[in-house]
Amino acid sequence: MRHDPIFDPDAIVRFAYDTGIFGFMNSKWGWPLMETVHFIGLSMLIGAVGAFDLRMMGFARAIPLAALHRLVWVGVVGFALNSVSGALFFMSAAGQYLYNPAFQLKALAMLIAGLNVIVFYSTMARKVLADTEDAPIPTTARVMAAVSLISWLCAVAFGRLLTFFRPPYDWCAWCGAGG
Amino acid sequence: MSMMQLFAQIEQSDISIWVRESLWAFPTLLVAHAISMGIVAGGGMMLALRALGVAQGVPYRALGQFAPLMGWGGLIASVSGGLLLAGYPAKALTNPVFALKFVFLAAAISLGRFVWTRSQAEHGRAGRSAGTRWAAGLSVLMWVGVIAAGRFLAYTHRLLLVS
Repeated sequence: MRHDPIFDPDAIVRFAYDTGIFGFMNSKWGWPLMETVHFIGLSMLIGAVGAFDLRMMGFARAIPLAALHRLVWVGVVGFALNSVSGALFFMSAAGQYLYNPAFQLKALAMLIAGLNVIVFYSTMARKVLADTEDAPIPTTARVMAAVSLISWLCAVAFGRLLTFFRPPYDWCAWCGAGG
Repeated sequence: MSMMQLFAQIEQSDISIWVRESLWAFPTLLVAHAISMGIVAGGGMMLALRALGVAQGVPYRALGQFAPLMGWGGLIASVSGGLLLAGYPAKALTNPVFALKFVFLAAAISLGRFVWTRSQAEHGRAGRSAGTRWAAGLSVLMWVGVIAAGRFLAYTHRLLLVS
């Protein structure tokens, strides 16, 4: 029996149950409906942010970088859709997510992607986006673009795997024995 | 030979068994299909949004530089989808939702090509014509349809295997 000092999956599922989330998700079409929303969101993220990342890495140079950046809000909307739908999945089966290595790796990929967003917008963004002359993009910015692209694609890949892969036992590095 | 016999025969082929039973084949195909479909649907929706007036500083002609990537996305989605189909032919082909996915897909691709051609032709004008914008809006709906049908496929099949 696991003893998790940080998370209480049973309490999370109880919350989902009390608020009706669990009932909705386990109704006939709840889960596939939210999967549809989740996939629409990830397509928006890949289409908008992925394209911007590729451009910043040096592809499709005929597109002005700042002009393509005007598409990024679409990716942000996609991320919002995914946060809501993802939270509904998680709350309805918290234990299956928390102790699944695929989910843990997905969380790590999203953490890296998130930190990368913060670092990019607080350091390189102003300079790179102000450049209307299409000057060469600094290596630092290109690396950040690659980190963004790879970490989001990893988030998609691990997300797809976690519905497929169910570990035979709880995968919990932070849990104590006994309980 | 009945359809069921045909499905059973496919299920017993080496490639079908490999898709189902190899440790890595099925998860790799799922990931490849998800990412490539994300590229194709995401790219299609971005083209439509551009035609609807989003990110107007992006030149259409230059957007064509992403066309090879869309082509690769389409190829990977087709191959991975084809192999998943080979793994479970009866599951997909006895489910009307599978046919619906391809109806949406054909419409999304046709509308996308139409928007692409018209946008090139209308290049330089201030805005896109009403016809182009309608086609763009509809193409987004069709991509949503493709995605919804794809997801609901996993929840609506009557059969899994027939052999």
